[in-house]
Amino acid sequence: MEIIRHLSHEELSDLVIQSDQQALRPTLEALPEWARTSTERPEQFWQEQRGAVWSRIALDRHPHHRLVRRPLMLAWSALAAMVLLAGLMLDRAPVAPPPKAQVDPDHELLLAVERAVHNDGPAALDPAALLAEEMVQELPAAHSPIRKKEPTHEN
Amino acid sequence: MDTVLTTTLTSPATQTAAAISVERFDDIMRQHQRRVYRVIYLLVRDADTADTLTQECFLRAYQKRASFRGECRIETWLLRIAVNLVRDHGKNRRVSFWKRLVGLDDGEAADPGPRQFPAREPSAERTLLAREELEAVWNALSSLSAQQRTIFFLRYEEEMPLAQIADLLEVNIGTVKTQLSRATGKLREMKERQWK
Repeated sequence: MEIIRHLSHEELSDLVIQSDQQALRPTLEALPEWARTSTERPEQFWQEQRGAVWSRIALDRHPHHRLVRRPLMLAWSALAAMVLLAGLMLDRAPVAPPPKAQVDPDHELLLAVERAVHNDGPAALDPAALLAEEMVQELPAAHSPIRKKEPTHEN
Repeated sequence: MDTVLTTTLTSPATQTAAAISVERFDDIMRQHQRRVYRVIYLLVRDADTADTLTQECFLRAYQKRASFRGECRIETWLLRIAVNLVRDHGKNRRVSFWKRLVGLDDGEAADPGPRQFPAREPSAERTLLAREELEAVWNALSSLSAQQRTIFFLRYEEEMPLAQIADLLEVNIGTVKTQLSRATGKLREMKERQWK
């Protein structure tokens, strides 16, 4: 009886890769050349790149150059933090309740008097009210709160 | 000038004994900058970004040169830094936007911006054709993960052995094979669609 050995996952991957490599042979063989050609740069480029690396290394070894910029950076970051904090505070501030109207006792009394004056009395007392009104109108001028100054006979 | 002992970097035994000197570092840069730039360029698809990240790669390598113990080849070590930089590139781009906004990014002081170099006249047409072919490969692999693309280019463009790729990416060789089979499968699918 023939025993069929199952391929492991890795062996299966090997087979797939081999098969794909066969099918893609022209592309895969040309790929290194395409990449090298695409990244061809003049010698000046490589020199400048090395120069840039050494400049960055020098900057890294002498960090005082960076310190010059530090106050400005700190100022900006502090400003940004303040703006952020203000934004958060504005966003979270509870809505203040509407202010209560101040109660003025004099005003309240005036309103009560006004209401009492305009309030109609009982119908049975209407004739009495009329009589009282007439009496008030017939009051002599002497009883008026504004007294006229009497002429003097001194002159 | 640093007073670190100079090593030849040819023997792992001597590499473990001493760190890389300044003079030697310049040689390393001359020797590997094209390869580092090429790998980064293939992964980011942008010449200026590739230039910036190559500089960053060598800066980091310089800063960490004392920690290089020679357990792997120096090019593997450099390419590992490069691949990690590319991996972080997307994240860094978002962060640097905010840093620039609040004036915390001082990168512009060191980075003079994109430099323009004319392509070599005799190979201008050849360069254009090569870039078109490369574009087609990039487009075919665009739906793959960054790690799958990295493995594909390291294997077929850099012609790196699978074990070295596994070492570089710090994954096991089985993972490298699985990811590679997905990448080749995708490219094959695209090519067959073109031929139909």
